[in-house]
Amino acid sequence: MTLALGLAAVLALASPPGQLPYATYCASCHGADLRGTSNGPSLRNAGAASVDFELVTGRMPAAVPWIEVGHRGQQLPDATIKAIEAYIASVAPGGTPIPVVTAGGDVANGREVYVENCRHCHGVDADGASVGGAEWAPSLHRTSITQVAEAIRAGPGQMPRFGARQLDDRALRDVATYVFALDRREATPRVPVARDNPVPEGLFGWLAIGALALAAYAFARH
Amino acid sequence: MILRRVDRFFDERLGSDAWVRYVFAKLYPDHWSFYLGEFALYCFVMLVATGVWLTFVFQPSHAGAFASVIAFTRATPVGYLMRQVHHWSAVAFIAAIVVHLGRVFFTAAFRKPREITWVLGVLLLVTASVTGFTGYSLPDDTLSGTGLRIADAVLLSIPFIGGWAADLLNGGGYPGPLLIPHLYVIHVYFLPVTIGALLALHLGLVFYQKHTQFEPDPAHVVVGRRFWPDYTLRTLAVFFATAGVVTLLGALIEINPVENYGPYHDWLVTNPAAPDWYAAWLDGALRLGPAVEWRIFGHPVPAVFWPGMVLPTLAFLLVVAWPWIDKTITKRDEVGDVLVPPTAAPWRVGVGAALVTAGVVLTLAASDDQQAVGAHVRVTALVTLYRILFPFGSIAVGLIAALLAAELRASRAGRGAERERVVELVRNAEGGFDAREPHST
Ligand code: HEC
Ligand code: HEC
Repeated sequence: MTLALGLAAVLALASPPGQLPYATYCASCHGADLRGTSNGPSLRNAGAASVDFELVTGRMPAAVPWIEVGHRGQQLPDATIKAIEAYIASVAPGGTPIPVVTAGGDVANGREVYVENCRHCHGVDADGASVGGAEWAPSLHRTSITQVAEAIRAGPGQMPRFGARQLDDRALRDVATYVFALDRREATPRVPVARDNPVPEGLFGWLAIGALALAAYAFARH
Repeated sequence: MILRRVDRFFDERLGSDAWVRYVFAKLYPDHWSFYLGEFALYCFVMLVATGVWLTFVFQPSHAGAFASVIAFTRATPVGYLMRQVHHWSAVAFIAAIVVHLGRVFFTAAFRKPREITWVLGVLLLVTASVTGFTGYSLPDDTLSGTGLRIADAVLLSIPFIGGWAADLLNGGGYPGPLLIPHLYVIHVYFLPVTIGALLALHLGLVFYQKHTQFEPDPAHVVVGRRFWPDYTLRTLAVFFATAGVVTLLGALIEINPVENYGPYHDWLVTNPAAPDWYAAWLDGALRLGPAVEWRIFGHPVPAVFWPGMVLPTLAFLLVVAWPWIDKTITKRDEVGDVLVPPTAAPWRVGVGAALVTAGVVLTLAASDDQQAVGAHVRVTALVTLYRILFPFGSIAVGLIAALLAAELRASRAGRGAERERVVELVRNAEGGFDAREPHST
């Protein structure tokens, strides 16, 4: 025990900051050299956007390698995350940096970017949708604006990665703003019945005919 | 005054008075269930009225369709309302047809001599559904584009003629440059004219053969209200109620928000896509259909052919031929002017309930992806569930419904017997009456 603590202290002193939390939380799966193990992929080309996204949404550190983790809220304290990010960046520099976005983009343009690029997976109101098998594209309502931008640039899991050539920084900001607006139900001031699926609309049609039939029953002979 | 002059003008030239008098005096039924068909009729009127307006602002081409829809929707509140009311009317139209069909089925109004009216009605349902589907496709948004892609695959799956038929519709590969123009002509011309013609025949037959009724009338007297003024006012009220309801829906609840769906490109496929409700059972059938690929005379037949073409054809044949199937089962072919209460034939209630359940299961299966996300289960688990429910759930519900109907019939008969019990009334000492079994003294 003392030995282990002492070893850790020595390591902490002797190694760059962040190596210890990396060794504690990540190395068992991604390897001490970041080259990956049979339990997790290499992080050499992951890039800061991807690392930050995985850590802030709580996808990483995964508990077991074979169960896919969704958005479960940040698991590690901010300082630890910063340290791990700095460490990974020092060992494997390059890759997509964390995009800097602020709210206040153009919502109308954002809607267009969204319907062209994201809607067919995440659904019309970003409520999430199945992408076949046991996979689904998650709801985007718990996601912060920076995480939306990171997801776009990093392309987590089944999601494609959108580079600056597909979506430039302005489009990135607009779509992130739109998703954020959707989140607060600002972009859809309507009674939402159908979300990519008109069958519930049919229910209202049936209700209408039912109401008419009830009226006929009340007023006509029977 | 003017009316009288007009009347005289036509009467002197055509002898129309006798006919007008006949029409005005004609009796119409007043049972509530007879208004269900009128809801459908007036939805169709609303569809034509709003549809004509839409033809002036819609641009039927792949390049212009989506943009024109967005443009006229945004430009004026009227454009938005017209589109909304048009779509809601279509959704309600087909619901009304189905409810009306249910009434005719469960009361056995399709019996001789009204089999032709039944067949025309079923054709109306099919035509209305196809019209609805083509209309849903016209805005050329990603949702309906995904639907069209599926319809195209089903068309292609027909052995021998599939490829040719799809080429004809598309004017080339999918989505061909002529697809939207073709759908447009079909939607605004061929199908509505067909509906109009079928409707004229359908209503003409109802007029000519007279309506059925619940009252058994020994003297063959038709019971009802005169066309003028009783029935005219009633049917006007039905029209305004129907128009009011679909307009309210259009004003209050957004339908088919294509603006959020975005324009269609053939490289985009919406994952959570489904058609309008009346076509959803077909989508559900496609999702549940087995992944088999057989060869017919060496020609490979894709898996979608069975749920996409064969199943609906069989369902259609079953419903169209129902009056004759019914005859074969009941072994009766006499004139059926008097309606039977649904419970009088529990087996028919069972068949109807089973068919409705099958339709509901398939319709639910068309949203299995969204249910999977909502309930956090695998889509494949839901597919298995619906595959089991489709045959067995339908049979179970059919059996239960038949048993319930038989039970109801028995208890009715019991109550009837009770009511008809003959008693003898005997004066008692207080001056009132006591009931006594006859001959019990
Ligand atoms: C229990 C094993 C495990 C642990 C511990 C773990 N990961 Fe992962 N990680 C995985 C697996 C498996 C994947 C790939 C599957 C996925 O995306 O869900 C992954 C994916 C990633 C990715 C995305 C890689 C890419 O190219 O898309 C990043 C970044 C990442 N992990 C960072 C971390 C960091 C940082 C830690 C430590 C805080 C960590 N992981 C801890 C198993 C693990
Ligand atoms: C091919 C389907 C697909 C497309 C297209 C797509 N995504 Fe995703 N998206 C996914 C999947 C699948 C995930 C879950 C990844 C994971 O957890 O490993 C995801 C995750 C996300 C997340 C993280 C959500 C969370 O709760 O942590 C965000 C944010 C996101 N996507 C935004 C977007 C945006 C914005 C677009 C359009 C520019 C887009 N996505 C396009 C499939 C897609």
